[in-house]
Amino acid sequence: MAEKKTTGRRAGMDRRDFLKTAGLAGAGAVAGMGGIVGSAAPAAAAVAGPLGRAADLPPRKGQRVVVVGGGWSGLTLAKYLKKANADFDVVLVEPNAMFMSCPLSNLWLGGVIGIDILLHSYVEAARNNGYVWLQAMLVQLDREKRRAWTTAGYIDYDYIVLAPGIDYDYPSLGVKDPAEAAIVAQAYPAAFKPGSEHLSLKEKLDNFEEGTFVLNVPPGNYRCLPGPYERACMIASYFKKEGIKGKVLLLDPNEEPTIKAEGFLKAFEELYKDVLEYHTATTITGVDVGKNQVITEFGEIEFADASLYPRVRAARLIEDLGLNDPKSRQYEAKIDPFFYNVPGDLHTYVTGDSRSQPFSKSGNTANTEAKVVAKIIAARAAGKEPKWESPNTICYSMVNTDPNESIMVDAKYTFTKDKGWDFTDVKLITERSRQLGKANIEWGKGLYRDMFM
Amino acid sequence: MTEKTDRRQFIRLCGRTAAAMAVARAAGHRVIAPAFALENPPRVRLVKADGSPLKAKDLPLHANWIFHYPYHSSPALLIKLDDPAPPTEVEDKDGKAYTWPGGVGPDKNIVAYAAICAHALSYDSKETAFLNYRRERNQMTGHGRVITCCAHASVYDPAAGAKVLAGPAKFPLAAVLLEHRAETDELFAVGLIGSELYGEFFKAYRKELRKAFGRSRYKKMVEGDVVAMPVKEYSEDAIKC
Repeated sequence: MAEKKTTGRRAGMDRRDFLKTAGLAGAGAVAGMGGIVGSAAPAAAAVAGPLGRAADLPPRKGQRVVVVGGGWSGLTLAKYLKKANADFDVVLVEPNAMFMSCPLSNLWLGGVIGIDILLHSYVEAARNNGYVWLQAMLVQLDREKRRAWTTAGYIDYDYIVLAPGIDYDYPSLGVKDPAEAAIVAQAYPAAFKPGSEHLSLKEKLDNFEEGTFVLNVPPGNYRCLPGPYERACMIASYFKKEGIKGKVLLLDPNEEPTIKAEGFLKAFEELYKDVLEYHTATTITGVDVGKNQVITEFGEIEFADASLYPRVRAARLIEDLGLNDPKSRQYEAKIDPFFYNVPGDLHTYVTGDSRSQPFSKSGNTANTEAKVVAKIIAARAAGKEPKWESPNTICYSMVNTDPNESIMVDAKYTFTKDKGWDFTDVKLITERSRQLGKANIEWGKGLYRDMFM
Repeated sequence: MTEKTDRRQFIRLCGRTAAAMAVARAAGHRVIAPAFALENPPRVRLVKADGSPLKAKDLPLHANWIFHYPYHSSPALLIKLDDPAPPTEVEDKDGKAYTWPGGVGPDKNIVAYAAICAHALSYDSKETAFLNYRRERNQMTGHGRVITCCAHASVYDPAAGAKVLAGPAKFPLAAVLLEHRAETDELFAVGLIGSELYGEFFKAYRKELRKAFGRSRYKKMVEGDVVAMPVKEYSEDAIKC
């Protein structure tokens, strides 16, 4: 599939960069080895640099569980693994210097909350919860020997959980050439992988003078289903407040919002009639950076600025390690749908937005799922039968900032042989209210406490 | 204050807490002592905003009131239920069973619980009360006659030791032990049992609690008379969800 050639900027290019700086003779070969079990992993004696030495970690006390990725899934896992078994030696491998939350970030874009609410310390999380944070990135894995190579050295482990999140699939926007994809990503960052992309989007809004600001909803199951709709509301609300002569144009390949449709449509109609245009059944098939245009099947759309959200895929790492499900168009990991382990390997797990179950790729899903997976691993480490529990997706969306008003949905998941996965226990509040607006912010604060305290 | 040092204040039952539990035992219920109870809990009288004693008969049915106990900064909900609430066995955060001694007052229907969510510590402040008792069914969870924390939809049964009925909370709200003096119809808060969360509560909110309740006062225990009032008068927003 030609579509396989995505940028995978963080997982792919950074790793290559690292290997270059590490000055490894066979760097390309190492990067390409992708988790072939029992393969010729770098031989310690022959390799200089971090791949040839053990990571600096406190002496291993109990069974070691390595958690790769310090997002909502990994952070919750690290903490709750320790809660499930205080003897676990838990190492969280995360390259970012600090945590920034994607959930609630639209509220920051809309001027509702300060950025401090979104920023948190990995040092605090690790110290408060009795695990170790290794500021590094996973580059190679030998699942048979249970050794993980990171940019800060290798780690021997008993269990490993991969929670690397998402990457973007730029070919889905009609941008097939990786070099061009890198340009599009810089020109119109999607801002669903928190950090610089979000700061960049905020910068765009702060500097916006007039004209059309294009946002889009990607196809498939993407991170934060209500995110693009909520973001459209927040930006429209900002335009309104600032008296900016502009409008938000939201392009959606679906016939209606993918979630909380009634609540969003009411907000579009009642609050943003003059500043927000919502085009349904519209797929982006190309992007022209030079002309500031997106191409759809209905023609070209020129804009003053944009933030374009390609189809989401499991983080490139999953494919690099050979763990993606060949049937998954989004390169999601092939795992046991109830117990999250790689088939036939009870020591390797994949959670969070790289999972293959069609759960909502949301912070609350990742948080509740991680608690279940922590118990699954603790049970197996103790020789007990694990138990499945449904993750829970509690999801607020702010639709107004004058005053702050939100809508919400709360759902769980169920599996049946004939239907597969489906939502269950769905509670939907489409009537926006100020009180839910307050609950919305507290939802985030509560879960930051849950992960960092 | 770390969770550890705070926990030292919670030891096996003594004094008033034991006395309150004995009431349940005397009524013929099997009583399991909680693993944690506040050591030397203050005994305070509940009064109305004007300083006059709050009598059981003054508390309206379905009351969703607030007072502070055991610390000046730690909120508790005071609730008058439809029906008598008998002693109930519940489990604390470590899975250990304990007996919640039941409602007090002439109709055994007055109960009190910490208004700090056992899930992620959302609480009732002057700005916003996230935990409320409501008789009507709420939209978010479909439950009625329950305490709901609207941040993440945890639902607690006030008639059964604040047992978790739904949502992400894993254990009941801490229970404030009440005493009713029949001769005067007055109400007293005399102890606290269940799962200790105050170490984490102070850690999470130290800055705002200092500001709202005083730099050192926020972590001092209450004494004498303590004012109870409807949540909707105490808080700008009693969140409905």
